[in-house]
Amino acid sequence: MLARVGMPQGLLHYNYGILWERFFQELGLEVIKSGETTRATLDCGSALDEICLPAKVYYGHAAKLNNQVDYLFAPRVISVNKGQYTCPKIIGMPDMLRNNISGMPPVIDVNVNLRQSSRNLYEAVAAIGKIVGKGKVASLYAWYKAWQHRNQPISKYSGRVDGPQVALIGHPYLIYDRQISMNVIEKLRHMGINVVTPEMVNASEVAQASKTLGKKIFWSSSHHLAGAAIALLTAKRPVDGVIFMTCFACGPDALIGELISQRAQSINIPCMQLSIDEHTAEAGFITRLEAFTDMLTRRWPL
Amino acid sequence: MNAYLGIDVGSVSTNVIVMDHLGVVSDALYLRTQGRPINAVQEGLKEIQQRNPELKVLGVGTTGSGRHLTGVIVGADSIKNEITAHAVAAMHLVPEVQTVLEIGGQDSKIIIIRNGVVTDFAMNTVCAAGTGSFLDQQAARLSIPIEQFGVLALQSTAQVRIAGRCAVFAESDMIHKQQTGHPISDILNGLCQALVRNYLNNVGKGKQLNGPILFQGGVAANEGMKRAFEEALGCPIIIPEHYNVMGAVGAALLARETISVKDKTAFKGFDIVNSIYSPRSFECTGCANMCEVIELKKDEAVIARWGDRCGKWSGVTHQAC
Repeated sequence: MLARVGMPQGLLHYNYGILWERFFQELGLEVIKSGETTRATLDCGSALDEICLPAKVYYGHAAKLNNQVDYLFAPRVISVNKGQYTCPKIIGMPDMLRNNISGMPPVIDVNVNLRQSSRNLYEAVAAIGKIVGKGKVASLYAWYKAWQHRNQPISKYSGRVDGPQVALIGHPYLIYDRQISMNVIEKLRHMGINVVTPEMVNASEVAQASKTLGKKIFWSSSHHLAGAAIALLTAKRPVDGVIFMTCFACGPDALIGELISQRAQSINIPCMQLSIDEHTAEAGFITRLEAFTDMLTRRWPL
Repeated sequence: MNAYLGIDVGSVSTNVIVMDHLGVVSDALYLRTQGRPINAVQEGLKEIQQRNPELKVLGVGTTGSGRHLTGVIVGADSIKNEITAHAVAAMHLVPEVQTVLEIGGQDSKIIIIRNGVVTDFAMNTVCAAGTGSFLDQQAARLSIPIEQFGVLALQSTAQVRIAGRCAVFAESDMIHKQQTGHPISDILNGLCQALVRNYLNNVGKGKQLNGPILFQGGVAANEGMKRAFEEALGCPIIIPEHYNVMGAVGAALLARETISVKDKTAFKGFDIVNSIYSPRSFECTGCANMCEVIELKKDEAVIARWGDRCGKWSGVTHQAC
């Protein structure tokens, strides 16, 4: 029987899940994923107190895998870019799991820290391979094979199409999680809106746009969100509106949310901030979405 | 008489208005929802029919937080959110309006309009601190009828500063001021100023508030609030004639707009006031999503279900109702 490695579908899984899954498959392991977020995930995750919703969700995913796997893959991703960090809660996640879930299988919590040099990645890959009993060469080869299948930008932003276009700015683990985002992307499309997400803006455009921010953003994910938002706002054909989706108590978002809304205001593009938490009643959420899209569609076409 | 109906089912009040095809409001009704939106709508329609026996309904629009439930029951032609409804109504009554301040029972909003188009809006977040419910509660604590609140606040002669950030802080500040001997009218006026300050700093943050400014929603009845807004903004505030039913006026206007491109109304007739509607909710156990499904029965027959994500329950409705 193949050794089973469990992969919680939360937080950075939305960025690197495909790559990680392929890597373990190339190494000859069976990958068990926790599946989409459900109410049960949320119920389980609320065992944690005083932490943001995505962290609770990740915990719920990990707890679900607890008895089903031989290894739990929860790498400590400290940095993915030179000079930048991920979020402190992401960095602390393996400890949070260990302290709250009893009887856990071995946790693969290898450090990934590319803040100073991207060479650390290869050390991390080898270390992961070692935990599951694979040699250095086999691990690196598996990583090389998997790298060809990494997440590619879904589609490039190509300017104005039919109907209003809205930039939905938020962390991937928020806006693509259909449970906690209350299926916002589908809802907007249903209302006749073309949704553009930060993943549709490539890294070089982000880097270019974030130069105009006037300050360096230390968190890589937030850096991408802010850069993408500005790139979409200042494109030759800018988006018609920005929805900034954030979860309650997110520190980095509080900062970049303000940067984005100030920029949008200065060029008269409407910007709405949507805060989400453990609410399951959708009424207030839908009212805001509807009002925002009404505002855009009622003046479309000008 | 041919007319459009507008129904606004809010957290605190349920309003029904009758509007002719020229957009003139001929009858308006303001009821308390009292936690039973269906009863409130039935009662409202009953009274409207009694007062206007010749009424022929051309179209119905619903708005407010109970708009979907009500829309199913009455057969609405347009179901729209309250921000759009309030903006449409404000522009209808005062075409040159640029800013709408709206404070209702549970929420407060600001709508910025330029050249007849909504360009920006904001709503309060989860907390209902600066809204009508809080004024209601404080009036009850001081045993003052809410209708007298504004009149008393206007009698104030001295400044009393009340903390406005949070309803709990405001209440303790008010109690301390009252115990040190400040007259009630000064405290009430201080509370109005605190709410206005809080509203402008939170909901109105960073917005350009140009005149003409309309103040609508139930709280606009409070003259103390009107004066506090005028003092803070330094310009006159217009309170439209139907300030407390503006959402319903907007709903009727939106229904008229829908009917202009649709031939026939979906209105189910005034007979619905005689039916018994019983909603219930249950948790679906089909999968881990555990959706809370709402089922609406009309005289024992299920007429609608909603709230599920997969369509298992909502798909089997829309039978003949």
